[in-house]
Amino acid sequence: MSETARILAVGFTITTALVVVVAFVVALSTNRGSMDPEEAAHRERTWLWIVLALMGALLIATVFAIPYFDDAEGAGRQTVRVEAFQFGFRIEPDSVAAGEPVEFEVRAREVNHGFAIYDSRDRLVLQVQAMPERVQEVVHTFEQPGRYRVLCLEFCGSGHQAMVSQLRVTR
Amino acid sequence: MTEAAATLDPVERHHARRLTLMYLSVSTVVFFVTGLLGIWLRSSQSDLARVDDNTWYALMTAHGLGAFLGWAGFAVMGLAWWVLASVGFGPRGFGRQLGYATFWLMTIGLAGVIVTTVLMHFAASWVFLYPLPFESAGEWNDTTAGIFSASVLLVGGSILTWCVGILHTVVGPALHAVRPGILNRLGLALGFGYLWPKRFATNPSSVPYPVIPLTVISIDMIIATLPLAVMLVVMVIKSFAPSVEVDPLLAKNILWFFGHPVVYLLLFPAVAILYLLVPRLAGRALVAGNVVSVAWLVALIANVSIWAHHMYLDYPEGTFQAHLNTAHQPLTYLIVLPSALSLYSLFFTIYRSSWQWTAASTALFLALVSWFSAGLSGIVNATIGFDVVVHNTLWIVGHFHQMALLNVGLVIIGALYVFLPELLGRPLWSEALGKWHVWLTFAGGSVNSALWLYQGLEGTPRRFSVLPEGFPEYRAAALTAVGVIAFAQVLFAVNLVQTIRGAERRESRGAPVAEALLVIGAVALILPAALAGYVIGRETAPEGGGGAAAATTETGGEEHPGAAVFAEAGCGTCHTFGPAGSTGTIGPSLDETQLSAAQIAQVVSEGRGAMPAFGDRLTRQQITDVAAYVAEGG
Repeated sequence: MSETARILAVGFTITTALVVVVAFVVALSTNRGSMDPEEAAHRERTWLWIVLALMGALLIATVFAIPYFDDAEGAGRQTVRVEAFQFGFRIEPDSVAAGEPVEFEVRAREVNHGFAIYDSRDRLVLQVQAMPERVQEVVHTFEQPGRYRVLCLEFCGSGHQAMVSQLRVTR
Repeated sequence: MTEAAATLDPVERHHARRLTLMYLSVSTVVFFVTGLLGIWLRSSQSDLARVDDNTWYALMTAHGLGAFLGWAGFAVMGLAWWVLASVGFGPRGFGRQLGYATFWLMTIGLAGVIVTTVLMHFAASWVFLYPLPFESAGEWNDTTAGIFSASVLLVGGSILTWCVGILHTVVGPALHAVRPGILNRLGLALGFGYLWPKRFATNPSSVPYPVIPLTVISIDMIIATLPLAVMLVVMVIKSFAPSVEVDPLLAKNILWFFGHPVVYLLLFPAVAILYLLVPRLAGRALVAGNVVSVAWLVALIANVSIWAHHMYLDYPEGTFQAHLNTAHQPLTYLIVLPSALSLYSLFFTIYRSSWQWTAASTALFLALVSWFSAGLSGIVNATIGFDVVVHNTLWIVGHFHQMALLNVGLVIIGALYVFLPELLGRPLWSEALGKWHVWLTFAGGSVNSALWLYQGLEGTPRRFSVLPEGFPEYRAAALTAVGVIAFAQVLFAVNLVQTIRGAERRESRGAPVAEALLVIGAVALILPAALAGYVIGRETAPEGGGGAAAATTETGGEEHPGAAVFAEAGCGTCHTFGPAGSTGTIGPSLDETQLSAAQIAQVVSEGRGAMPAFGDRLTRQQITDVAAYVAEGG
């Protein structure tokens, strides 16, 4: 599991546990005591501001994780051309050096394809999608040398599951 | 039954009842059929009832479109007629005609979808992402793609007729509008009376809350469906005029411009049902301030302004898409508002009320719980930095099954348990069976979705007929969960049949509160336990403990240099070869090849028959390696 995925796993489990607590509190409250519906309706406005604040905080916290605008310009950059087709990948060159930024230029021949790289422990390292007539670029710097696996993550037809390839990362 | 329905014009009541029963009959049959397809798909992945790859994707297409629109969509569209009738809005004249037209368009369209997928091998998935329908790799032809597109066009047409029919109904005399203008009445139906009571005056009563979400979604789906309808017409034309082309980026945007709000075609009517039934079962009015109308106004606008969160990983060079996607993250967050405020209203309507735990009320309550949880996983999808990790993984599958089956689905089930006795004029056959059905569906469905969510975080891709090596499928847990869901639907079917037959009512044995708490507790414990077990297992696994290494050790020691070439060149797509774990059937199996390494090298270099030449794609060394690998049988 990648670092981000682990954060999601923990965060989602905690929030789901809170949902279960809310469910229990509401379920056990029924037929016990009473409340003033007018007061609750009035407080709904407070809840609106709480939700807006939470969403705003999440937005600020995650906006820097947007991967679109890469800042790894400069010397030493390696370029890998990828063509995804039904049903395989052509990756040139299929070996890159660790520690230096790699720019992938991903193209798709006939239909939409995905281009996902997994490390030797099957952790998702990066993914983008590619469509015909367009070039999708993505920059990544590999830290660990080793053999990486490439899969297609956009459904592309009867051989989708067979689109498997490899990328070597050397020292 | 409410007072409003009692005072409804008998002819309008008759037609509302008839429309609801017609939609529900077909959608319930679709529910059972697509449910069986779901079981089949999961069993095939686990090698219990293996189908070939294209058949798997064809069944996946039928399951997706069928369950989403044919069951959940069609069911809530039908229930909407009865919800409106229950608050005094009966279908009149033109709107009623459109209600019947909707039924036939949807039914015929669904039949077309089933025929083209199950019988004619169309397998481009329910999103039929252009140009895939016309690039089938020989599995189906363009005519089939045309018939499929025409079928979906009929389904789209049924959404349009339903929307106009609903709008015609909600602007009816039951609004008690002081001003007669059509825009004024539309504003009233959108709940503007709660915000601007003087401008949007009513006499005597305000618009009932269930009307608001139905009005919002009817306006939005007209806007969202029209571009897709044009796209489908172009696809039908392309099926016999292949030179017609559409820009793939534009096509993808059009698809998701429809594909996003269509989710709300399920959710918003479900909210209307909750707005009607939760207050009725709690014995008090909906706890809602006028801020609810603000949320629905936001929903009306945001719902047709956002779609690109489905395209966060498409940002090709020289296009505007990266900026569009970035802008769509905060816009997508806005759609959280109607859900968050509705959940607040509904939970507080139940809180400390005289809520009774019947099959129906339990279903609706658990639907709220699932909605809350599925909303949280939805926020993850809406966040670009998170989506990079979960996009097109099983996380997404876990998210939308929780949303569709356990939120919208349980609302439909709860509504059926309340409305069927009203519609049929006889009580539910067994209340206890209903409760078992609801609890088992919730328990099995929650475990099922939780597994998918975790598998997604592990990076396991979705829409794979067979999971790639190295990704655990948690077979025992998953198949048990699927079995529990399936068993629950058998109980449902028995209860439905007995109720419709008018069998003598079974006495209820009291509310299973203890069982209920047990199930919630168990599910609550399973989630963190699964997480803990997962993290520990993952962290302690040996480096490279996945499939690739495992396969190597089985064949003894060092991996053959030809194995990498075999995988990389995609030989396994067409050829079955045991040592490489490939199952392709396009070319001959390599397991029993009698050719020598030299002969194989020649075929690889020069091609033979349908097999392309690889001489210019692979180096001489690679060809020698792969030939030796195949000749030696690994």
